[in-house]
Amino acid sequence: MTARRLIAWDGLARRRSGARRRALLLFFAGGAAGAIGAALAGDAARRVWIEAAVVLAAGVAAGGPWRLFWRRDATFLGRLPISGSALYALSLWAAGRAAALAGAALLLAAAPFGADAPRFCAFAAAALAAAALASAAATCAAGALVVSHQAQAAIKSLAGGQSAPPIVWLSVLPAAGAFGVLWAAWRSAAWLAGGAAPVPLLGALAAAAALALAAAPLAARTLSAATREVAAMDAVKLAHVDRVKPSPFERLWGRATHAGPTYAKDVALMRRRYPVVYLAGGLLILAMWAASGDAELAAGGVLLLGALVRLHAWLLAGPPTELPRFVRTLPRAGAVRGKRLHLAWRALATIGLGVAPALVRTRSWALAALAAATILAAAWLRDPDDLVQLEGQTPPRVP
Amino acid sequence: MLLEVEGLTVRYGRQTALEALTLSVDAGEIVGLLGPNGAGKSTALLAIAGAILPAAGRVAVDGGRARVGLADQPPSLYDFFSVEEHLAFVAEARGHAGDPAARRWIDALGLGKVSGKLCRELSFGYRQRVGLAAALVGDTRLLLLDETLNGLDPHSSRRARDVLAAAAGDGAGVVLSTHLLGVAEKLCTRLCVLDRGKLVKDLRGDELERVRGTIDDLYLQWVEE
Repeated sequence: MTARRLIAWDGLARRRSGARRRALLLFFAGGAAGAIGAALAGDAARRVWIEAAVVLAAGVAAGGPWRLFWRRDATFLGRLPISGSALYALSLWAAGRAAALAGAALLLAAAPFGADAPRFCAFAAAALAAAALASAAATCAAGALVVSHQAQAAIKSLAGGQSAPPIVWLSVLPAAGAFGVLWAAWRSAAWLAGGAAPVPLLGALAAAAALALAAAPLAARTLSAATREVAAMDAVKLAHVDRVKPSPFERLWGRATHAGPTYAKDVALMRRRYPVVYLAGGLLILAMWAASGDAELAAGGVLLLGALVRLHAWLLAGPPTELPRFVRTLPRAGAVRGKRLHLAWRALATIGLGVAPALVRTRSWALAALAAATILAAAWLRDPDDLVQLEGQTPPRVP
Repeated sequence: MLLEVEGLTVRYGRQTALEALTLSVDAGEIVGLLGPNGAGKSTALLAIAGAILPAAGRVAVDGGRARVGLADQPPSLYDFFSVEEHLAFVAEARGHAGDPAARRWIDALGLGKVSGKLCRELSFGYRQRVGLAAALVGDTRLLLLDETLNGLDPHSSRRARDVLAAAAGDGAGVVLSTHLLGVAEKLCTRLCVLDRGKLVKDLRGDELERVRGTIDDLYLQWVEE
C-alpha cells in the first residue's frame, strides 16, 4: 500500500468516526476562547499565549507514539504487511495534522494582538513545524530501538548491565524531542517582544527537519516491524492487569454517600485500566504544592487539573469502564448517581489536595473562583447521555 | 511446508499460556485446534500471526507474514468502514489493491446484502463472516481462525465451511480453533488438542479416520475438566 493511499484510508476512518469534526471543534473553540481572553486581558494575555504555544508544541512533539504505535487500530495495522515508509508517512501526516490544528487555534487566539499578530503566528508555525518533524523522527527512532536487539544489547553494556523494558524508549525519545522543542521555543520567546532573533527555534526547526529526513530510510527498514512488536508488547502487557483496589478514602466516600455498585465498579476499573491518570494527578498536585506561592503558575496548574478531571469524566463514560449497551439494561438513576458521586470525589480531592495549599498561600479570591469554576465544570456530568458516549455518536450512513 | 512452529512459548506475567508448542502445517491441510477454555488456543494463533510476542520459540511461514490471514476474536474490524471498504483496505494493505477476490468472498460468505453497511452496524454473525473474508482477501496462504465458525446460523456455517474447504483445495493451510466438535470432525483433515498450554493430541490420516464419529466422547477422555 502506498503512503498516499494509507493516509486516504486513515482520513476516511477519522471522518466517519467523527474524530476530525471533534478535533476541529475543540481547537477552534480553544482558539476562540483564547482570542476573547486575549482581547480582554491585554498584555498579560501575550504571556499566556506564549506559554500555550510552547506547551502545545511540546505536546505535538511528545504525541508521536499515540499517533502511530498506540492508535486504536495499531494492532490491526501491525498485522498487515504495510511498508515502513508508508507508516512513516502516516506518522508525519498525523503529526502535521495535529500541528496544523494547534496552529489554527493559536492563530485565532493571536488575532487581537493587532500588528504583532503575524510575528506571533510565525513563532507558532516554526515551533509547531519543529514539533511535528521532531515527533515523527523521535517516534521512528524509538520504534527502531524497540525492535533492535543489537541496540538493546549495546545500551545494556553501556549501562553496566542494567536494562529497562524496550518499550521505555517510546516515552524517552519523544519526551526528549518535546523537551528540545520546548526549550528552543521558550529561549526564543523574547523575539516576540522585539528581542533577539529566534536562533534557538530556527536551529531546532532545521535540526528537526534534518532528523526527519534522516529517519526516512530507518523507517523503511524498521517501522513496520516496530508497529507490530509494540502492538504485540501491549497485548501481552495488557493481558495481565494488577488488581488494584480502591484507596481507603475512596471506599470511605462510597460508604458515606451510599454511592452504590456503579461507583465501586468505576473506581476499581479506572484504577486498573488507567493508573497513569492517577499518577499524572499525583504529580500535578506535587507540582502545585511546589508552585503554590505563585498565583499565576497556580492558575495554570488549576487549568491542567481541570483538564485532568475532565479526562477522568470522559474515561468513565466509555469502554472498558462503561459498556454502553450493558448499562442500558441496568437502572439508570443508580448508575448516574454513582458516576456523579465518583466525579464529585475527584473534584473535592483535587481541590482539597491540589488547590487548597495555593489558596492558603496566595489568599487569592480570583484563584479560588477559577479553581471552583474550572474543576466543578470539568467534573459536571451533564445528563445520563454522558454515560453512553459511544451510543451518542450517530454513525453517518454510507452513501 | 506452509507453517513450521518450533518450541513456541508465551507467558502472560508469571502464567505460561503456551508451552513449547511444535507444529507444522502443510498446504491444503485444515487443522482443528481443540481444547477447553484457557487451553492456549487463541494465544497460539495470535503468536503464530505475530500479534503477540512469544517468550521463546520460532515461527516460519512460507511466503512470509504477508501471506497470513488472521480472523481473531472478536473480529478486528474498522467500525466506521463499510464491509466493502474494510475488505478493500485489507486487500490493499496486503498488496492486492482492487482484488477481485474480495467480491468472490463477499458473495461466497453471503455478505452481499450488508456490503454497503458500516461494520459497527453488523450483528455478531455478520462480523464473524467479515472477519473471515478479511482473513481471506489478498492471496492468503495460511488462515488462522479463532472460533470464527461460532455464532453462525446453519446456512452461514455451511457457506463458511465450503469457503474454507475451497481455500484449502486451492493450496491454503487452515488452522481453526473451535469448540464445535461436530464441525471440526466434518471439516478438518487433522485435529490437535491443546490442554493447559500443551499439545496433548495430534491426530491425522488413518488415526483420525479411526476416531471419526466418536470425537465427542474421546475429547472428554483426552481433556480433564
